[in-house]
Parts: sequence; structure tokens; C-alpha cells
Amino acid sequence: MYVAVKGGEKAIKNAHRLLAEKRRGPKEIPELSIAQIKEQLSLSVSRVMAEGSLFDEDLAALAIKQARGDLIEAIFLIRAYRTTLPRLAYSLPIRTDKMTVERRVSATYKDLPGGQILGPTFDYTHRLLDFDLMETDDDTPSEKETPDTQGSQTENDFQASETDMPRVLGGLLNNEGLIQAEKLPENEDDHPVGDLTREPLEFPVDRDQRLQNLARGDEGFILSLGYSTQRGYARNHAFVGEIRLGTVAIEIQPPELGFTIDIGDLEITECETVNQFQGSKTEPPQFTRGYGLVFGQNERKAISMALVDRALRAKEMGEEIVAPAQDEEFVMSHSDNIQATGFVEHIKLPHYVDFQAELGLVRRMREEQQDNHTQTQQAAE
Amino acid sequence: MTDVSGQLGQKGQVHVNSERQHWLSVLARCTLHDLQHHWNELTKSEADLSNLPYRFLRKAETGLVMVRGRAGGDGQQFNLGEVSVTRCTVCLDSDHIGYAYIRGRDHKKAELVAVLDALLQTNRWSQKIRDTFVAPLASAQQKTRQNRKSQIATSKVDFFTMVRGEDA
Repeated sequence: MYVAVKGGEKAIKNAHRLLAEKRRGPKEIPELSIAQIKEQLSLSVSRVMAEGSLFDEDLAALAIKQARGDLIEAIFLIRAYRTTLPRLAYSLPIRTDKMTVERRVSATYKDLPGGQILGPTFDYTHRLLDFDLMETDDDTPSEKETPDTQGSQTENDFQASETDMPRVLGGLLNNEGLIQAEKLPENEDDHPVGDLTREPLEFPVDRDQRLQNLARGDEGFILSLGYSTQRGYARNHAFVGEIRLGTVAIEIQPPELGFTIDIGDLEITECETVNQFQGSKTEPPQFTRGYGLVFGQNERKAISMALVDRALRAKEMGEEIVAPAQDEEFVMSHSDNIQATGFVEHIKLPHYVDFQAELGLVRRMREEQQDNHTQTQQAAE
Repeated sequence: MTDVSGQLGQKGQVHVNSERQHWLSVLARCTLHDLQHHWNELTKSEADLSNLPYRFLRKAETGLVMVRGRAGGDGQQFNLGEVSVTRCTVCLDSDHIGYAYIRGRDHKKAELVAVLDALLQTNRWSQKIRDTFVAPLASAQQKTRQNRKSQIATSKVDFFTMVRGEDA
């Protein structure tokens, strides 16, 4: 039982003043602007948007500033803010096949229609600290770092092929019937889409709820679970069929207009994995799929999500559930870092009455034990 | 950008809608700064617009749109997460109603987009605003996209597999 405490107003006020000072840091150092965070710490912004489950770069940057760079605290601020806003509409499903691509790679096919585009990636960097960045006077990429186009594909070549960038899994593998097609519910319009922000979690769940949970789940947790599937806790040897990063249009159909309108763009990372499947009595051996979709640029999360999505499809595939990553109740009940941090961190708040009760209990038990001991001794004598 | 499907029965209606979808899509992607700049230029030459009377059917308000995705890109729908959206509805004296739905929380921008949407439906202003607003902004957006594509294209690779050892 938790019993509230009163008092401490002055101390709390002063603690918050200290926090504000600490956030600002020494006055002689220039204050961070929201634009700087948004443009230069954009991957932090991506993470806060994904796990805060609200795509708004300015708000995410503000939350990061206010939270002193503590991303989970920033996610908490975003989650709290979103509860103050009305829900205006559900979008039409985004068309990732129509993405304006910033990056697109496949680990399964070398030669792809549309090609492999690395885009802004840390891959193939040497992970050496760049001490030039210690200086802030001019960190814009220098002349010699302007694009080297020698020997690479020509622009026209790219533009021609870019119009034809089929999905690796849905387009290429599916043509041969070697991969399971994504199932659509019958009468899709009448089939409600689960929404965890509206209905409480009740098990068992369907894939729509699992994907929503994973998309807003903690990156570290999903990463570790994905890793566990690779290490053998759920036999799912996965390849990355395709990763896409880019922007897609958000479309809604306001009832007052009666037609679809496009309200702006969304940055998104998508990952599709290809996993082995033995086949069954009724189905020939074929590949199965995992899917990851995350706000902003976050490949680590998208890949991990696809691994865990595939592991969680165990029941549907008739696989034995033996590992944590296959257990939807375990995964979904622990993936939300705001719930997790709330419960873990709340034990630092005053529990004086609670603890006094336990203290009393332990004292009484010890006294009883002492009494019993004395009585036994007396009886023995 | 928008996938213009003929979801409404009458042919003419679809045509009007596809044009309207186009301008709404272009306006939604503009910055407030660009919109205001073009508006100021326009009102300099068109005094009627500088004090254009209109009333709000719905004042600008910010809310959320739940964005949906599909498993595997084309499978079962799921709710991915929300995006902040601002909407506004205005009505001109001529009874033309303008709507704005834009990503983000910019009330001024939503109001201006709604006013432009209404004006774009009038005979008097439609052509003028297409020429001075929609066309140049659309081509600027197109140019930005092309430039980015060219930059991104420089990172296109051709991986080749190395044949190892004596088997070569």
C-alpha cells in the first residue's frame, strides 16, 4: 500500500530551481536552440518521436532540451503532451512503396531493380573519433568532401531506375512464391485496427497490436530481444531483405471533404526480414517475414522490431514457444519504457509508512522467534 | 504525391478534386515564411485581398492524426503512432469554404492555407493564385526533391562478391 506524504514544498521548489540551473549549465556557454537539436541531434529526435509515439520534430527537440538529453525523460514529456490533444483522424495506411528514398539497401540481393543506395549511414565508417569536431568554428564538410561522382552511376541512371524500386520481398521473392504473402483480413473496412492508446492490453493479441507496441517500444529492450533470437532463443535465422529510409506522404480523408488529402510528409525507417521456415504438411517450405516500421531514422530499432515481430508470430506458424522473444505477454508487457521507468523509479519515492509496516512485521517475527526459542530452551531444561 | 483515385462518382467532380488535392498538398508542404512572402507580394498588387473578409467555421486547432502502416508494407493494417496536425476552416463572403489540414502546430499557416483553399475555388481568384502561389511553390518543392535525389544518388553502390581462393 502506498500512503501519500505531505510537506516539503520549499525543498521541492528549490530542487527544481537547481534542476533548471543544471539544465542551463554555465551562463558563459551559449544556450542550445531547438533548431540546433532538431538539425544536429536528429537521431535523438527520431528516437524520442518513435517511442514518444508522436511525430513532431520541434516538440521532440524541445523535450530533449528540457530533459537535459535524457531521452526516456524526453519521451515521457512527449507522451504526457499527446494526452492533451484531441484525436482528429486516422490516416490512410502509408505507402512505403511510394517513399521518397534517402537510403535503400538489401542484404539478400546484390543487384536490385532501383539499386542499393547507402544514403546518410554510419555503416562502413571506421568508428574513429573525429577530433576536428572538437572545434566549432567550421564543421561543415570541406571542399574535398563534396560528392565524388567519378566512376559511380550517373544521375540520369539513378533517376530512371528510381521510378522503379519494387519491394524486395513482396516484389521479387513473392514472384517465385518462395515467401509467404502478407495476409489481409477479409472485408478489411469492417475489421477494426487495434489501438493500444484506446483499449487496454488484453491477451492474446493480434499482430496489429503487437506491431503498434513494438513501434513505440524501448529501443534497447527490442534490440536485446532481437539479439536473443539471433543467439538461438527462438530459431529464426534472419536476413535483411530490405531497409528503406525516406519520406512518405500522410493522407487522410476528412468527412467534411469526402476525398483524400495529403497533409505533409513523414520520415520513416522500414525493415523487412526474410526468415527460414521448414514448411508443414499443408505448406511447402518457404520463407517467412518479419516487419519493422519506425518514425524517423532508426535502423537499429527497425531491424530489431522485424526480428521480434517474426519471433512473436510463433503461434501463427505453429512453432513451439520456448523463448522470451516469442512470448507476446512477456514482450508487450515490458517493452514500454515509460511504464517500466515509472514502476522501477517509483520505489525511490517516500514509502515510509509501507516500510514502517514491514519494519514492525520483521521486529514482531523476530520477537516471536526469540520467544519460541526461549520457551524451547526452558522446556529442555 | 497524392494517389488520385476516382473515388467519387461524377467525372467532373473527380477532376476538381484532383486539382484541389494538388494545391492542398503543395500548400501543406510550404513553410509559413514562404506562404506569407507570396501572400504579401500578392496583396501589394491586389488591394481587395489585403482586407479580405472571411469568417471562421472552425478556428485553427491542433490535434493528432494516428498514422497507420501495413505489415510488410502491403498486409494487415496497424497503428504506427501519431502526428501533430492543425486544421482550420474559413468561409468567404461568397460562401466558398476553405479547409486546411496541415502537419505540425502552426495556426497561422493553417489559417492562410484555408483562406487560399477558399480563394482557389472562386472564379475571380483561382487562376491568379494558381499562377502566383501554387505553380511557383510546387516547382520549388519539385526542385528541392530533385536536388536531394541527385545528392542521394551519389551514394548508390554496386556491391560485387569476391571469389575466394583457388576456385577462381
